[in-house]
Amino acid sequence: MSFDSSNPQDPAPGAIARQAAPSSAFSLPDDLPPAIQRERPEPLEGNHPMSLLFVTFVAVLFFWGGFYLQRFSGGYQPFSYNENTLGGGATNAPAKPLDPFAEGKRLFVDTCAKCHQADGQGLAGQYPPLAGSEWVKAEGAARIIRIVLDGLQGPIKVKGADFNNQMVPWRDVLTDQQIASVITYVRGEKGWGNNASAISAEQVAAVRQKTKTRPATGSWTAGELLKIPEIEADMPSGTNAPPAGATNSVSTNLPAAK
Amino acid sequence: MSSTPSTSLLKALSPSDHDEDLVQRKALLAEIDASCRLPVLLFFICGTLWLLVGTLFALITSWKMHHPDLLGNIAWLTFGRVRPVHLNTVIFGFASEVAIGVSLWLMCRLCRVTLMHKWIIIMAAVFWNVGVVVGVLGILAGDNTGIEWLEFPPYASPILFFSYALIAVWGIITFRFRREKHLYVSQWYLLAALLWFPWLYSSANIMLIMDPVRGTVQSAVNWWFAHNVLGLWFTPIGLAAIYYFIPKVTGKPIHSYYLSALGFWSLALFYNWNGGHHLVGGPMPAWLVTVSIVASVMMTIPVVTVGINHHLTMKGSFHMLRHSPTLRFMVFGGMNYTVASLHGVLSALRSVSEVTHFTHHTISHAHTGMYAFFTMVMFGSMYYIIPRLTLREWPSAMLIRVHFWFTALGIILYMGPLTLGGILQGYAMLNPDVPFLDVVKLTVPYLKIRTVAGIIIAIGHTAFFINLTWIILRQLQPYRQPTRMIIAATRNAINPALP
Repeated sequence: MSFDSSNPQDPAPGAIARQAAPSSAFSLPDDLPPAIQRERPEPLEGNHPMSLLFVTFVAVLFFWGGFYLQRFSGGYQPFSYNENTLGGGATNAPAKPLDPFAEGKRLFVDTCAKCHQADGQGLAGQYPPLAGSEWVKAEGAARIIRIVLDGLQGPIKVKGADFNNQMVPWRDVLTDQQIASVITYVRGEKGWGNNASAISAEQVAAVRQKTKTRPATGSWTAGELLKIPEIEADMPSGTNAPPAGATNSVSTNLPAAK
Repeated sequence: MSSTPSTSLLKALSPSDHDEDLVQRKALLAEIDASCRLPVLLFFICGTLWLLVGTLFALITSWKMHHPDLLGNIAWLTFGRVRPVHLNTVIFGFASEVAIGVSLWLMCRLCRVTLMHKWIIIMAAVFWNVGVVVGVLGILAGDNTGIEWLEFPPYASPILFFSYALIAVWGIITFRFRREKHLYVSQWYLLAALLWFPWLYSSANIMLIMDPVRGTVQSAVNWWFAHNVLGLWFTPIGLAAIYYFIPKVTGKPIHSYYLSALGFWSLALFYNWNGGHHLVGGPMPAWLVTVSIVASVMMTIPVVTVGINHHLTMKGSFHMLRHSPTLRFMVFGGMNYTVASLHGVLSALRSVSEVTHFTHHTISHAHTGMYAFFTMVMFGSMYYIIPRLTLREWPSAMLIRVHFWFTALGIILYMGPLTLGGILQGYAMLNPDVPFLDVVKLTVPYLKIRTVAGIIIAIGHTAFFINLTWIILRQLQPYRQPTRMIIAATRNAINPALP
């Protein structure tokens, strides 16, 4: 590729002059700027008709547009947010019920895995493991709910190893359902060897209500938690379906409550 | 907008039969160019300086994406400030200024009138630049409004709007004094853009900054504005330029008036609704997003229409791309208009948007539209217009070659990998098994390629800047104006009523 360096403007310098003066009776005055002398006439429009194929294409697009608009506008209801809703409020695809295990897995990756790691093994000496942890697999969830709600501080023994660190509270960050989901996931993740029962949002709500003054006191310590029975008498029953195969037969070797 | 050329235009088809007419016409063009010289050059030069500033901030921004610590300790140069500075300098500094220059020149030529009272335009150019400087300093100082495409602080926007009012009013007055009855297709786009931009800019400023609407309506207004700045301001001006320069350089008429009309009116009808496709999955009534998706898909009509019209005009003239820089930039830009728009149609679909939105894919798409299409068309226009304003030829063909190849290959290297990286990023973000940090790491190679592409483009910009400085400096040398006599003669002959 090369441009005529003296005249990179015009594809064919002099073409205009030739075109304009075939009879040599006329040429442009030399004192017009050279760029003006060589430029072509101002643009014009041709009158070619549109091809029928293209008109058909436009018509098909309009037809599609009308169909899509009518079908996916939720009946033009101001509060209809689901495009699959038909006019009148009926949906042909009912909202999927919440899968606490899936929601919990997502929350775990976003929220917990930074310390406890995606494989639930924690970091030796820093963050305790959740996989196989006796605190996680306990028959009742009274203690783990409290840990997630208000955090944990000070020394704790998990799977025979000692840890001494600080876990932040999630009380004001996660909802009851989110806490229930993430605990359900952590307790039921069979890939980690955990197989404990699911817990419900009602259970979390009950503990949240019972411990609502806790934030003033600070995070829990292992000693305080051990004083609380694993299964509290006034705890609502879990309503979430337990993960398949989960039973209450998980043996724990936590010290009994005093 | 009559469908048949007027008789004076038919005459122009065979100029050899109308020698006197041709001389007068060409003399008038010279006179118009002379009247545009100062204001249009001012917009071009300032625009090019903003382009360099914008490119520098683009490189800093891009580098920070893979090395976040770069300049991280200087509050003025943190990511949250350099990115909007990049966006606003290239949009309001470079692109808008060059677009205004091209619009005024095209408007005068197509209306066959000189630019009257050019000092008003020069004043507007000064105000516009003051507005951009105030806005940029405002953002760097931390006064970013946080509204996408409207980041300039509230004390900068009125300056821009005042300046714009001067320009648009003058454009429309020029149109009012037109001596050409037939309205060429470029004029439709220019006139529409001159009216659309103040509508967008004032509505968005009132509804988002002066008296903000509530809640999610803000995001609807914001996307209506942001998408339409591209669609109803830059796109029409870019298309007006292509519609003018392809026939101008090739010497052939535009293929079909009917396609031109369909392309213009379908753009006017559909583009305005497009912004809502950015709200797929957001808390918006379903119908609002659906209307937007339908309008986005219907944009296929103007895009394909314009593409066919330009292609059939170019057919048989592609060999000219070897020699004409204007045509080469125009055709590259025109082809990318088709690519960017059809890509946009795809991205507007719900199933695609679920994956690609909030990823680098969107950034890549925005650059296809703003750079590969619009900016390249503006470069091509400047290559044609500036020699006519300075009465000098471009000093270096080599620099033009460097400019074209570095920007063209640079933007292709930008678009390809980043589009792919955005899609991979989108799928990874939808997969709950992939931790967020892994998604970030996945994008790093593509972000590095983007920085390399940015450096290549910056080299192209530097070549253009050198050539521009060179031609301007040549223009400062004493120059006898041989056109004066003939201009004085023809002015009276053609339109004695005008001063």
